[in-house]
Amino acid sequence: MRIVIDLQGAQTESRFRGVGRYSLSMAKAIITNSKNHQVIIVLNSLFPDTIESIRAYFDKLLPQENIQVWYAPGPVLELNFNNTQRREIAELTREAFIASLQPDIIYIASLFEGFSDNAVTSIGLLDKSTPVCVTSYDLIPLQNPKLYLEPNDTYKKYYMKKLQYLSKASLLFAISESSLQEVIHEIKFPKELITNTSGAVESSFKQCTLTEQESLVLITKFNIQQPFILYTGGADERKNLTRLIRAYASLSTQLREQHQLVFAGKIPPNNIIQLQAEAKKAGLTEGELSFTGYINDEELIQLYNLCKLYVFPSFHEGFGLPVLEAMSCGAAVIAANSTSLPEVIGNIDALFDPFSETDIANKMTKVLLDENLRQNLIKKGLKQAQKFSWDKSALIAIEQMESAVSTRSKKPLSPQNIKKQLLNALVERGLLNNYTDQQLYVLAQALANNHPKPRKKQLFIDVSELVNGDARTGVQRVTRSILNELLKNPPKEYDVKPVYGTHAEQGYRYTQKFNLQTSDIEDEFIQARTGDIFIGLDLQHHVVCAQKNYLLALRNRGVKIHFVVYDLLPILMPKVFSVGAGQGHQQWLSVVTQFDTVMCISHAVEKELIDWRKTQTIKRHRDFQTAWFHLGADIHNVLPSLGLPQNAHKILNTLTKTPTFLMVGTIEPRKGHKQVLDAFEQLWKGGVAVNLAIVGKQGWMMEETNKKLKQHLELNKQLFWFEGISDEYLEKVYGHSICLIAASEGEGFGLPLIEAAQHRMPVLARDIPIFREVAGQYADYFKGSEGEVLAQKIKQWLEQYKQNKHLKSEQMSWMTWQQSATQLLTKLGIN
Amino acid sequence: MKVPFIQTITKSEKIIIQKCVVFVNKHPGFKKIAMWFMRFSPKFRQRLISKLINGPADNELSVNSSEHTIELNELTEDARAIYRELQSTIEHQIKSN
Repeated sequence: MRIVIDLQGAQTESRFRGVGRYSLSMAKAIITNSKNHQVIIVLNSLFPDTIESIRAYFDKLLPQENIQVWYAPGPVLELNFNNTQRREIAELTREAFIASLQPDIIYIASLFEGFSDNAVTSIGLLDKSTPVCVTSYDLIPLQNPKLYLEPNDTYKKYYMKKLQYLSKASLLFAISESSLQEVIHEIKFPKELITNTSGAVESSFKQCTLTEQESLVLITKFNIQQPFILYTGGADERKNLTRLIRAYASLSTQLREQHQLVFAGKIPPNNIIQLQAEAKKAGLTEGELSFTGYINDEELIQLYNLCKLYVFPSFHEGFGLPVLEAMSCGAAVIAANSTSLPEVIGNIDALFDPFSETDIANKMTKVLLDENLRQNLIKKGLKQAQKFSWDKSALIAIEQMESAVSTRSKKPLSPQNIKKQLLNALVERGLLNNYTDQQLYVLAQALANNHPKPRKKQLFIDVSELVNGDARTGVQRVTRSILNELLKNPPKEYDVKPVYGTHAEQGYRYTQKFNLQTSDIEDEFIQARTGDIFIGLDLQHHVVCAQKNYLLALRNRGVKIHFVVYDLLPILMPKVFSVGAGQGHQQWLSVVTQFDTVMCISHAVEKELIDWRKTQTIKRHRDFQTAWFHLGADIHNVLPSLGLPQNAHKILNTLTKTPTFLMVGTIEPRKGHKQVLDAFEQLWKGGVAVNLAIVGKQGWMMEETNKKLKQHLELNKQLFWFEGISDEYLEKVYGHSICLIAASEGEGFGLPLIEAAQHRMPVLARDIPIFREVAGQYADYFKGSEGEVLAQKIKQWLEQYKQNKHLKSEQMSWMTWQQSATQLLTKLGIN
Repeated sequence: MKVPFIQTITKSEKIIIQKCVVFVNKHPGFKKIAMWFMRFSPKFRQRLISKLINGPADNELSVNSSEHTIELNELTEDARAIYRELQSTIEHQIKSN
């Protein structure tokens, strides 16, 4: 059986209330008790800020691909009459989307949503065959029309329409016996189709002992000054807070002085003003009441555990979740003797008449003064709470669903025809009359997101820099090599799609740059869907920062987003980079670390990233995932650039005559050129016959060193500088040198070490973690930043070299680009 | 469940709200102040939500409340195909009527 759960109840304002908590917990319990059934959760894209937290809630319980998001043009809230046409389109669109998932049964966790927000719920408008079950919380507006329906026609119309939908449900899940009876009596719903699934609380709601420090932090934060009586929940009229305040005011002065009345949770400001006015009228002073405002679950549990008494005076509840939460945390609970509360609380001693201030006050006094009674309430409450469990509720619901599915008589909609049926329905109902092209575009894009063409999953490889300009740095070399391998050997389930973005427009486009056939057609925007993967392989800080919201929207849709991090050098070594480089890198990192996995090009970089992240406050809902892979080094598989200068032969001969040490890399501060040159100047001064060959372009912040190199007396005698030479020439320089000096103070990987090993050339490297990681025991290391220290080390090394006792690099392990690409995919879980 | 607390408004209140909305639209800097002030009056808030937050419905075109006007070539290939299907369904409907 495939159960599709509509979880908009956890997306709207209800998420701050019992309905949202109930929806999430029930869905979770259905998943954990689903056995062989498949569960898919559907979410509304018009609540983009809620999707990631819901995905996080079900992480590891449900594959992310089983959380699907549907799209419709908004806004659609019923409060605004102008939204009618769009809302009706959205209702059909949602039903078509759910039908396309081919459910055996649909479960709507909360139907009465969408009046003052963009939720969309309906039953049987397009899909008249799939059974739909709905949780019915209460029918309070129907039972109190004067208060809730008559003052507002728009709300009444909305509410009555939802009731019509409710009556079309195949099954109703009532959250209590009292709520079940309400449905039977008020809307005459067939008794045999309603079940009391009851409710429960999350296992985190339990007794705990707070340390003095924790208590102090809590009471200071919420301005609580003494032992307190607690209320949690909303503030609408049925919650009966005015009577609670009056009852509290009628307690003896001594009792009030000893006990503050605390209202915990999000209460609208206008309600707070009304309640404060009520308190003033009743003769209470300012400090006697406390309003905490929004509190998180952890704080709520602590407050339940700390309060002397929990009081819940609501005269109408569907269930009364706060009462059960408080009992589970070992609070002494008293509550109104109305609707569902007696069955939840299960103790007559804990009940009072909610319409009598005297009765409320008497019960409060009795419990506060009689410690035996208080302890008895706690004990019985804990025992009663054990009777409720989400597993029990879910098993009842699943059993009912199985029964409904087994008796299903109507054929499901054909998945091939759903889109066509939707388009016909939209047109036939006149919902697109007077629609402009602009509006049709928006609708078409939403429908394309909901019903993408059947195709293989896509593996998007970001090659933005390669397409937008190609800075031809090491990063582009990596991007090109990995992409090349992925295009040659794509993972089985995926089509590899190189894509690019710019900072000028939102969205990424497919690039045809790497196709064999060129085309004049403009690059298309990518059409992503759940299960696709995006790897940010190329490095364009400003593009990624500009595309942040687009990427977040992709993640909401169920696309996994990973980024490759090459190094943190601009942050860790700001002095050796131009002004602003560190800040730009920091901004980029704080964006990429919000997504799924950050793949570092070495274990050393991964460690640096983890350390950096500890210093940041980047909000995430899911755990931060990092991993590392190594880059390829099969330079022979990459097409080399060719060309030798006329004097190449002469220079190479000179290199051969005297032992030549080679440095490879752009001339920039961190690369250690200054120290190496100092060392060689001392060696030359001391009469040591050695050459220094530097291969690398002029970088930044090295004007003095560049000038020194160009004007050096030993230039082209014992000092050689090769700027911008071809790969072919570099090969030859490697072949005519005896040792690579890797003096860099910071690297992401250290490719020259592997290239040296491939040339069987010994390596003398600075002792930094990344060089140890890459070269291990197959290189010699030096420490210190003085030229003299290095000069001594080179002398020692030369002695060992003469005796053939130096460390050899041939055994250094390295990977091909194919292996590197495979390692990248494996660590990202892509097969 | 949450039940919105909403009341009907009188004609004079409606005029005040309309004037307020016109003023705030002309002087967007006052929007926050107006919102803060109106939060204490549910019935005023109801109107302000629809006028100030939602804006006129016809101006709200995009999927996720972006103000960007989109062109046909900015749609994905799949979306363009659906747009063409929508158009042909509409044309078919017009013909059959």
